[in-house]
Amino acid sequence: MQLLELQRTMLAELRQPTAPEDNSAAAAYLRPGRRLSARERLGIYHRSYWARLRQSLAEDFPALRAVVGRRRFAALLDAYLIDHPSHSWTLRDLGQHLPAWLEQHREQAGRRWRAALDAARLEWAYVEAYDVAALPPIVADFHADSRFCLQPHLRLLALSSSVDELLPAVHRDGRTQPLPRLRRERVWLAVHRADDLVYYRRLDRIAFTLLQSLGRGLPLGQALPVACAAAPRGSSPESTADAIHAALALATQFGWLCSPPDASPA
Amino acid sequence: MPANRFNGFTQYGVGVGLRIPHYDEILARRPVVDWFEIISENYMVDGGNALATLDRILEQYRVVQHGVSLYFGSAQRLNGDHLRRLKALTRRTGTPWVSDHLCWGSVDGTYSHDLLPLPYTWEAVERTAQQIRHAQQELELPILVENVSSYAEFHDSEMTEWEFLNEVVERADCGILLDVNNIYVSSWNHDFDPMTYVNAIDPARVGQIHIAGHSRFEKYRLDTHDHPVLDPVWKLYARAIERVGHTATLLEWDDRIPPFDELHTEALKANRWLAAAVQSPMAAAQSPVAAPESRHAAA
Repeated sequence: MQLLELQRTMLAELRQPTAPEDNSAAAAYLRPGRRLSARERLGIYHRSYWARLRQSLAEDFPALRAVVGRRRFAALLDAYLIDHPSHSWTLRDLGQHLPAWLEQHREQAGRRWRAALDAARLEWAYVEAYDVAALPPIVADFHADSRFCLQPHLRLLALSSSVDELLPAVHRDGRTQPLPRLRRERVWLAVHRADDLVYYRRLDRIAFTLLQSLGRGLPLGQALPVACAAAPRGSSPESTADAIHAALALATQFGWLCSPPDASPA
Repeated sequence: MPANRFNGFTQYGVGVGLRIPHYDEILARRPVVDWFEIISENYMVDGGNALATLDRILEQYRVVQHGVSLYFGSAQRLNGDHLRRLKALTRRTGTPWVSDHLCWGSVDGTYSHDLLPLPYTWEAVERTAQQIRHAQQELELPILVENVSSYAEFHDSEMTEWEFLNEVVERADCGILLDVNNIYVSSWNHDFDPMTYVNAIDPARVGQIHIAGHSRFEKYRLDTHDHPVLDPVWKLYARAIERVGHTATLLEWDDRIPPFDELHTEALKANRWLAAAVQSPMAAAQSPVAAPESRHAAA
């Protein structure tokens, strides 16, 4: 058998969810040993493949596991891995499709699908915020035509539950306290990195919309009306203006605003 | 071979793997450690805590890069993005050499994240050597290839594992990271004499040695890196040092990681043999290939 054909055959067998001891053509290309058959030998690699990938996802998505429960989580991971095996040299990327996949496979999460989706999105945002690049922040001089890009490690999430309160609990080692009860509510969240640690910060809807608009490349003069339109019904112009000021101050404080890539040097 | 072109003519002693549970202690206490080995892929990122910690380690320690997913033996070409990021990291660390495994692990863009065994065929020799040569050119650094633990053998194999290793490194003109624990594990799983393997390796190409612990199961041995080094592995190490000379040695411990001092103490046991090699340098490298010993004698 040619090397490429052999490798395709073997990896296809490893990717099967059922153990090769049950159903495998391993004997066609693997020798039996004195103590183990060809299938049993392949089985060592099969267990290792699934254990390593499951463990990697379990480490990255502990809140998702807490939301859907251990048994459902195990089935969910296997279904996900069948659809999305690793296409990266690093296991860090293994869960990158999980939020989108879960959106399409609500049956995998059961009754708590929305909370599960929130957890998956938040935990993937954590993975990204942890190690993506940081750009030098700018001390913004705010004009109507000012354009910014957002700090690459900043992730903005609109969630439908209080799943952000769950994360510190499931990440804490040696947890003995019961997990906090999830509430259905709109949560606008910034996931970002400061001093090499990842933080979550709840935003009001105005701040969230403003940052989202700036991140999409709108100049400040166009982003402001979009943000103002997100103000709660009945808000006074003064309170909306205060919220805008607070949002820009927060973004400046955490260094979330950077020069867009095409900006000419000052 | 105390220092050779495959380890950048360095003369490193006993190192340990840099692992997250030890970060705080190492940075706070600054223990005397000859060098640290890092898993390259853990630091091939654009920012964050891993890189920041690595930079602090580099201020005080020598670091050598060891990779786990270049997959020299994969039938298709190496991942260009991986190589570019790896090269960038080598510039950051100043590693004198780069190591990865003699195995395959990906096909058609799908990754197993495992060190899968190769059939010991001439086709695999050619392909693997070609990929190592390419990586060596791209990285502009010497490459050491590490023998892996294996649990399967192929009908197609045309030579022994040690013959395969020697053929690959000769054609790639690269060095060897000799893992004596992996030799032991594979010898038990495939019923060969591990001393035959150690005695067959070209000593002039060995640039580094790995030692580690493994797990014993009823029907096989598993390379788990979660135990102290076992006696039969120390015996192989002793023989390897006898043949190769004083060589950079690293203890691998990746699971159930003990406190740093305990880990370092285990690694420093290697000095017993390294010291003897210093006393009679090079003589051992010229030693003839010994007669095979029985596997049970080594165990």
